[in-house]
Amino acid sequence: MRPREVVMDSPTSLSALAGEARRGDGGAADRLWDGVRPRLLRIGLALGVPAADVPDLVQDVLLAAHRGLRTFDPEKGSLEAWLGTILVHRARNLFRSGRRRRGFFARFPMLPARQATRGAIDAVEARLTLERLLTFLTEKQREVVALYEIGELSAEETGRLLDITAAGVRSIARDARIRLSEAAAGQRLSQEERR
Amino acid sequence: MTDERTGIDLLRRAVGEVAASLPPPRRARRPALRPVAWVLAGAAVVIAALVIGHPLRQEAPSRPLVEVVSLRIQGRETRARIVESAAAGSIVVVPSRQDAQPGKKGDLR
Repeated sequence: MRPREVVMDSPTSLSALAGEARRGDGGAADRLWDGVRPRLLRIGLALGVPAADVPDLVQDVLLAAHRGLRTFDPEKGSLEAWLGTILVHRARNLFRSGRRRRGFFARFPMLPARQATRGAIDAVEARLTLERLLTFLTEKQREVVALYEIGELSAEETGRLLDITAAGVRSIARDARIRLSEAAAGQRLSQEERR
Repeated sequence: MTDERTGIDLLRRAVGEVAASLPPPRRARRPALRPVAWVLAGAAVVIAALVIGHPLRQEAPSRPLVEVVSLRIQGRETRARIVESAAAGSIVVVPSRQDAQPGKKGDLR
């Protein structure tokens, strides 16, 4: 059963759960992490992390958050922003290590590529669409879209997290939306041409 | 003209579908040992260290105290050693008669 996401809609209940978890309530911690996981999965996907890596990435983020929960200071920002910071840093590390890994394996073209497991057709199409759309965005645009549009953090929180102003976040998000719309129009055209 | 929201809505739908297709999460890993277990493990290590270190901390057997005194035995002045031993108590050691030269004090260096 997929966890309910109701706690993510209510920052108050999130803060309350975080407080209880900080005091050592294991049940509250489980509810907290189950509640925030779906949004973190979406942010990870929107950042461009390969879908196969996203569950492990999010699990690592939650484990790090669980261990560091005592260091989380609600006065410095929301729990969502704190988790977003951890996620973005880990995703960046993953991209860097992924580039190194790809560079290494590119030197051995005789090695067979690992075949991706195919799930439902819809999920595969969605995955391809996601990957294709994200190629139209720069790294900064992807981060802004992931946190501000998909993760629904405020422009101020996103800006603090990415070290840019809130106005900059809105501007980057608008550019990204335009690019995505152009990409979507291009995709629609190519689909119509194929028919 | 393309609607500005078209692309982001498509992305949002794709993200939602892919997220829904991901495997369910594994249970969060908990620390291998709970705090109480850490305390018990620490206590066990301390006890083990004490048990192992105990023979090493025993004091080495002290050398017996030796005191040289002059005793008058059978009218002769004789130097004797009194050895204080923790195991055997006080032992008086005197030279045997043939060792002792008449008219000389016993030399028990």
